[in-house]
Amino acid sequence: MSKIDEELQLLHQKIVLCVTPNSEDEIDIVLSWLSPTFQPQIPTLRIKQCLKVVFERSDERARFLIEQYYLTLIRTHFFSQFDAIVNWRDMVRLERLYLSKVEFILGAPVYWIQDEIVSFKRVLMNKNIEFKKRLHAKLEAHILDNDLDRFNQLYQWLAPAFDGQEIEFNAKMINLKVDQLSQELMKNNVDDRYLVMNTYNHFIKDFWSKFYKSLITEDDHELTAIIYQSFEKNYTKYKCDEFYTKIVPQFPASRKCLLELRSILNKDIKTVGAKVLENLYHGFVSRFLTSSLLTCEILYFYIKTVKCLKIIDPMGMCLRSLSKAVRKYLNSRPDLITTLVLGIFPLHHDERIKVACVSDGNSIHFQKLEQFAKEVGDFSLGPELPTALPWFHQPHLPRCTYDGNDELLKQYLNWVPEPPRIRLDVEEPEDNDVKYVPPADLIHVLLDTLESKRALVDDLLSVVSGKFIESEEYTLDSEWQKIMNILLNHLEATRKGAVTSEEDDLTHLNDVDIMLEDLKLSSRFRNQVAHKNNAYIGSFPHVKILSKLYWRHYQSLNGRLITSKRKWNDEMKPLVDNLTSIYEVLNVGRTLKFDTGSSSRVSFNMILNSGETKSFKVTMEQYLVISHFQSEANGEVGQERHGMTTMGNHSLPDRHHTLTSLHHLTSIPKTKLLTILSFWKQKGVVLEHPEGYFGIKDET
Amino acid sequence: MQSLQTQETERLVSDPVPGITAEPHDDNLRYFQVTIEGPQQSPYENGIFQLELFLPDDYPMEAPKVRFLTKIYHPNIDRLGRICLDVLKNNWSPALQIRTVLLSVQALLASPNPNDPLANDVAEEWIKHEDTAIAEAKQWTELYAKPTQSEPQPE
Amino acid sequence: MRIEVTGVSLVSTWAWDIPKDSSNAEHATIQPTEVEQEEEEQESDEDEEVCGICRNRYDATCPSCEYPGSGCPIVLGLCNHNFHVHCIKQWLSTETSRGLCPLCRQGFQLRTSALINKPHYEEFQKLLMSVRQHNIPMGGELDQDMMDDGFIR
Repeated sequence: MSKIDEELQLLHQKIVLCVTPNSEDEIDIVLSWLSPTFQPQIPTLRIKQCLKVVFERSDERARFLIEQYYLTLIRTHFFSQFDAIVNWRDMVRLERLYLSKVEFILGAPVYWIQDEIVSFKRVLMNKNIEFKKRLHAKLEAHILDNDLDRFNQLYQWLAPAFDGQEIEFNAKMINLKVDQLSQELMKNNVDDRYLVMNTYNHFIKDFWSKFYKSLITEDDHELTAIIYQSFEKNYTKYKCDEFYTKIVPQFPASRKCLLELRSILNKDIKTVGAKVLENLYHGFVSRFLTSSLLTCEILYFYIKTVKCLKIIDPMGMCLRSLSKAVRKYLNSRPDLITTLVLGIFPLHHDERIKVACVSDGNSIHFQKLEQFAKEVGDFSLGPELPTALPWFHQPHLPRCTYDGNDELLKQYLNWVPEPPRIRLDVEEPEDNDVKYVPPADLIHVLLDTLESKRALVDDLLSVVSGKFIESEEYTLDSEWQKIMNILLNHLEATRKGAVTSEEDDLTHLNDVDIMLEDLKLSSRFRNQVAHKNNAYIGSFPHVKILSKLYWRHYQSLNGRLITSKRKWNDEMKPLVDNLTSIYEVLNVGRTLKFDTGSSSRVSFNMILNSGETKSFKVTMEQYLVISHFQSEANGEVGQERHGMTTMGNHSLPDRHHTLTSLHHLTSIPKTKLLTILSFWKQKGVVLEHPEGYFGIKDET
Repeated sequence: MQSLQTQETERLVSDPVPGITAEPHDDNLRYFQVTIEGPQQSPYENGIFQLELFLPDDYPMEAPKVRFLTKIYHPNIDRLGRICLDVLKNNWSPALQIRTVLLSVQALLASPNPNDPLANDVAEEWIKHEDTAIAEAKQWTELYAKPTQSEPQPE
Repeated sequence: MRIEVTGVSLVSTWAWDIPKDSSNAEHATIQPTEVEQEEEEQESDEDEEVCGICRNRYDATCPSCEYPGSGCPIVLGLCNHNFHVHCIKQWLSTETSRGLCPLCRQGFQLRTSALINKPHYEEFQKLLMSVRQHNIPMGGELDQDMMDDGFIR
């Protein structure tokens, strides 16, 4: 006999003693009916009679004993069922079962049975994990569905059994809703402004106004403020996750989003803000500083990221660490300088190709480079940026037009390669004394990726010197003039010892100085020659006289100047001789060596025997080669050359040449001749005959 | 253009003379720390001699100033390390270079010239008792110019 | 076919006009025999010769000049050693120079034939005179040939 059975037996005996006159049979019947397992549940007539008899004959004590008996019964029953109770409905059914008999006897539930049932719920919630889980899941589902009625039904049922945990539970429910709305409205949205506020309003309107009565006794402002912060927290989390997948790639469309993020981070920059920025730093390093990306791609993302960071990180906390990491990583890339030069400076497509070829830029991917260059040039950040970001207010013009802003690049070029202090980097000790000034524009940011600006200055000089030589004038166009000025200012500062002077800087300064001087003197010389020849200066050939040694940057990019061992044609020779003799008179002890290669240019009209005219502007050597194909009847030139007189006549045949005869006429090496001839073949001018000679493709 | 001393410094580094090193001082690029190995078959063999070389402002119109820091027993080098060498004095030419000057110094170690002395006592000994003088020079080399001795021994 | 040139843009370098000297004849005779092909990528290096004093190239400046060219000319020595005017003048003004060429230690003289030397004759004459005079008192040890080679005409 179990202990409970003993207890029940004991109670039974006590009840028998208490109920007078003796009604042992009736008591037997009533007590066995009270058992939850008794069938049928609805009392028969006989049972009803017995109930009546027993309760009429019972005093307080007897009734108490019967209550105890009943409680022992249902408690035993409840615990025997305990593990089987998994759904809320299971418990509701039991609840109804336990109450039904009491209601039948007393007409209404009474406190003792209700207390008992509440304690059952409590035990369930505490001990029956499965039940609790399912119940919570149900509640959560109702919350998420905004199903107030069913939520309330469950919540009210559960409320008495909370046992002091209702605050925790309510918070959980609210967070659930917050998270749900955050996910629905904030995630993947980088276009909308005031997203936190809008989501919060949504929360209040659709959820809070209905539910708060169930969850809290009165609407509490402090609580809603905390809820608002939860939205901010979620927002921060989502936007950090999306930073490199959505925000950065979609910038500047994502600007509103960044502004919102910034306002959130600014509320607590020291902890939340710093943590976020640190994550962004690590995110960039792991995502972009990898060998699978091209240098221009890394720079492209870097620039985009910097633009974004400028908004959320005006103090440059993240940028500082990032620039160090990027510099460290990129300086192992041999194509860094080339990529920078190509990205920063306004070059034409063919100039780009030239720079890329010379600098062994095999890894240059032009399409991606274009993307990077475009990004560098895109300073348009919009007018509505707050005043806290002064550099965004400066009217940034398209790249490399630093109108009145030369100071920026100048400062930059004066930059001394010293690693910036890192706050986020744990290894380095903090140094609060040194105030970090974030680079003020993108050019700075990019140039900051260099360990030393030396190589960049080299490349810049190559490009600038090429511009000088190719220009029809003796000056640069205004855009390049500005770049030149910045370079000069930088070099000048070096000369004055304003910045640490490397020997190379002095050399560069010297080179630039002499290049400019050469141009000045060349221009003067051209005027003098034109004057002596009584020629109209505007139509007089441009002459540039270089101090060869100081134009090595030009030669490094464009190949050596070819100043000897080639022959002029009869058109060029008098001009060259004239220039040389005047120069020798003006500059005693000096003579000229003209470039017969590719830096000298000739433009001309080619009048074919068919009457068709084509215009070309080509290098001197290309011109010299083609000029020898002219018809024999070409006026004096023909006479002089061959000492015979032919009347000018268009219908006379063009000359044909073999490689050897051309070499004889020009002294251009045969391999070079082949290159030039193939140029003219490509232009559709020269035809290679199967017999091994070349002629003009002109015949109709 | 690079300055002359930069050219020379670079050449000294890129194309060093066997047995001679010359490094410019960090703070003063006109001041060089020089070491010269004692020439073979000379009393200074196996010795490493420290010298200082200073380019005067007028260089190359004026000869560089060279002085031994390591003590050395040599008729043309005195107790203060000063060197009696024509190219450092009257026979200087601006066409000479740091490397040629140092080569001359090395040659002086190989063939001392007691007839044009700077250290008179040493020269006298060298003329009178050459064997003793050479032994003395070897001993000094052993004492002061051993590679293991990290510190030079100026007077 | 016929070509009408409409525009020319010429690029030239300048060079010192150093006449080929008889003693440089070997150099001159080599040239015609040079193989016709592919030689031009190694442009002649005659202009790469350097000043024996500052060791900068002739077409570069001496260490004290900013701009190469007319402002920093070179002179040709009779001994076939050429220098920046500023360099050799500075050397010849020192006592140690004794008027000698830094490279061959012969008395330094300008080549008379060279046009390039023309502007400098007078100055060099004065300079060499004064060096010579200065050196006479202590001249006992001086080489006799130096005295003979002094710039006196």
